[in-house]
Amino acid sequence: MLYNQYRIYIMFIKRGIFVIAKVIGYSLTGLIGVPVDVEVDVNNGLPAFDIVGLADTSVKEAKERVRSAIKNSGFNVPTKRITANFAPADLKKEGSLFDLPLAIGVLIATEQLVIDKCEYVIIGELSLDGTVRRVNGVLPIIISAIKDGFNKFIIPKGNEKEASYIEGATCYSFNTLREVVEHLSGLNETKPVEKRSYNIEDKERSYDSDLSFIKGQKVAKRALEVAVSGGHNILFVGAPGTGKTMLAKCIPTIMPDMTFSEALETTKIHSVSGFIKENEGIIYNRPFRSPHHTATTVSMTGGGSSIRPGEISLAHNGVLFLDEMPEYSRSTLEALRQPLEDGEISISRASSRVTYPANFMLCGSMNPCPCGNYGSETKECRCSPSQIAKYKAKISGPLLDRIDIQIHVDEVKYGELITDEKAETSAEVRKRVNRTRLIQKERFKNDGINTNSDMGEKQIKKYCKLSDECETILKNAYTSLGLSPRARSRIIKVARTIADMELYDEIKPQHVLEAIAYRQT
Amino acid sequence: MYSKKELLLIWLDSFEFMSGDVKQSLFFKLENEKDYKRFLLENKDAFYGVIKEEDYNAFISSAKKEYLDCLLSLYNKHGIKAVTIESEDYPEELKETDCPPLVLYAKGDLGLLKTEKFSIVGSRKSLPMSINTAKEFATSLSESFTLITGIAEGIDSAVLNETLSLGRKVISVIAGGFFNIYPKSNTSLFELVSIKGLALSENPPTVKPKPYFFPKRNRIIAGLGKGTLIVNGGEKSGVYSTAEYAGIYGKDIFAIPYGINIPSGIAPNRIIRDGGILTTSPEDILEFYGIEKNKKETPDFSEEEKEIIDCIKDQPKHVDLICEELKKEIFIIMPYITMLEIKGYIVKNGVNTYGIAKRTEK
Ligand SMILES: [Zn+2]
Repeated sequence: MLYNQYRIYIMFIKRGIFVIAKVIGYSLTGLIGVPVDVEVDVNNGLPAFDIVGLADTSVKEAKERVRSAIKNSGFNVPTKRITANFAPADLKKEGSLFDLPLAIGVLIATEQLVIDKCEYVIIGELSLDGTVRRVNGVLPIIISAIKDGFNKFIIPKGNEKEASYIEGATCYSFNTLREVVEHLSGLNETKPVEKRSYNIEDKERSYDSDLSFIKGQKVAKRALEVAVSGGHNILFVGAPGTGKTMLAKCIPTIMPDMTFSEALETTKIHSVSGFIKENEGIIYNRPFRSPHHTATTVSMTGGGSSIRPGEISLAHNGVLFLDEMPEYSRSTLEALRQPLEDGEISISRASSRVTYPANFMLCGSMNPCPCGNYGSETKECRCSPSQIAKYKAKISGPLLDRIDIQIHVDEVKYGELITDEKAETSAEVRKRVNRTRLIQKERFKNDGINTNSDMGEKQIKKYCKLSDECETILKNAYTSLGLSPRARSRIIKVARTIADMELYDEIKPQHVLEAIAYRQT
Repeated sequence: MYSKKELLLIWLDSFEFMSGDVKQSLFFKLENEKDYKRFLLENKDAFYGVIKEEDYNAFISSAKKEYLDCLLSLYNKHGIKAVTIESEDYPEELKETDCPPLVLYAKGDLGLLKTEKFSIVGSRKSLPMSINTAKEFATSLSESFTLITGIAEGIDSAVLNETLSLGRKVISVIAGGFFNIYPKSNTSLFELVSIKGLALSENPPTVKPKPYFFPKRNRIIAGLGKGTLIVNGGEKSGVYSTAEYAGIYGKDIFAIPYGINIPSGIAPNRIIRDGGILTTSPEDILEFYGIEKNKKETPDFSEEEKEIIDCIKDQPKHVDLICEELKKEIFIIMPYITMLEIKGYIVKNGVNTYGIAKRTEK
């Protein structure tokens, strides 16, 4: 045999001529990685390959892949009784990321690979020809494993980029099983993956949309800046074809740059879901998720048999855009309330309970009425008032209470008339947003919140004192514009943001007045 | 207290299955009789083919004092007054029409029936600008008239809300009975009208509205008012019937003109073509009746507010355009626009489009 000259065993117990091998793999529960010992024992007896230890079907399928991959890499699978045990036994394991540790375990147990000590965490899927394939969730696994005291990792080549950003991890990436074996045996050692640093100036940050592409729409653009500055959720009301989606897509482009820890959190979620592209590594762009209105509640909040993150978690640190909001099922919309309050979502399944972060900005759009023409100057609305009321009522009051800003969007007919408009780019707006967010961070440093939209009644009282003049304006607005009393705190929060944007310590009448213009109607 | 004749009318009117004509002829036959029941039994043949057998039986068996007492206490309990055509409270204007209701059910201030009245009608489905128009006319005309309208959504509601919020007088004429307000969503508005104004119906409270009640009800709206303003209405709008009755009764018909492409402007345009008075401001109506409006003092506008008012005084403009013309940023303009809107000098005429409120004009 090829590697027999290396005969120093540490991780084994001698028993006859065979050894019990122990290799460390990792399993994922939500975004938390849990170490799994993969033990392999080879005995004389009827030839078989058994896997024990609460492994689901996807893990049990591993034995066929492992068998072929070993054979096709130039090793052999003895016609003996092979038993693999995955410990701890009470943890449910799923996915194909145990292929590689299992294969390595078999090779050690059959003495085709002889090593001193397997101090690596090994993650990877195998294809039949012995290629190591990329897997989901490498980033959260490495982050958890470092906390557990591991620092060396064997990962698929395809996952190398996302692993390269993590401080304290030495990762080795491989294309084939054979390369892994050569590395472990010391025959042909591979260099660790080169470290990258998170640099927001990277050219990697790029969006397809930009505010400067949108002509006219002054009210909408201003309202967007206010919303993003104060972290306010926003609802666009307008007929189909008025550019609501285009406006929404600009939100991530003017949100503050993600900090490294934000980027890491977001990348973790996308890594678990398998949405990281091979050349992407870490996610620089704030996510923009727009689930279709036929989306199920489970796909929205997360869950299902494998407790995957839902759309709201995929939108973590970014934007959840619900186009035609009243079309979503009532239960789907209701399921948004708790995460909007807590910034995270807990999903329980029979055996386990998983919490995913879900701190997103909600952007909704809706037609003014079922036919879309209500409020138009030229087109007639065909809906009865009760139909319109019914349509609007599909978004429940408690959910609307979480939406501070509502604006009407109309056809861009004046955009063409305006020729000398020097449209601001998203980057320019983002600079101001960054500044306004800093002001809020400083203000709320002892309050445990980040933005004006997070303020509760207590903070509103503390930070939003209104002059008599402002109070009079509000009072008059109630009677002459028919504001509901519930609108009060929303208007004050938005006024606080506008004052912050204009660098005022005190909320001035013009700020209240502008906030009233963005009220729900 | 009700006279004997009035009681007879109230009793007769409580039977939904009898048409107005039947009730009327019965009234003339019975008004000088002492024992209604005996008379009815003796003249049973006269009812043959006019009302159904079982209806006739119900009718006969209710010809007693207990039935009437029950009826009156029900009306009383709900604050409903039955104003019969024999009553002094009954509006003279209606008696001059071809088929006045025998009994008007009323809730609220009966005194309003003796005031100068003017009707405003329009469509349930209305463009925001039509709603604004209705409000402006209601504001101005309610200074000189008690306004009359229905209880539907759209223009009716706008007129009722605007007038009531100003503390002025308004009458709402309802098609069904008071216990069955249509649309249901306006039940609270009806309650408000019956406290602060006057609600009228020609049907006893328990009657459910049927589609054919509405054009019939319109004759009361047209008949009560000195004139009628048609704010808007589509191809098949109910405002035609109101205008038609107003024409038959010799009332003045006013209508707001619209562009030719606006479906909800078809009815008023057609009515103008057929002789309605083209009306663009409440002053047109006030002048027609020779009423002089008290001069309003010019409001005190700030420099910026004046600029905005000047910018949109000729025609409503989109906010983007206002910004362009005044060369100001949106966040400078927006507070002033909201302020002017709160003060009621400008109104939203469409999505992000603002125009002068009619009452601001000199
Ligand atoms: Zn519509």
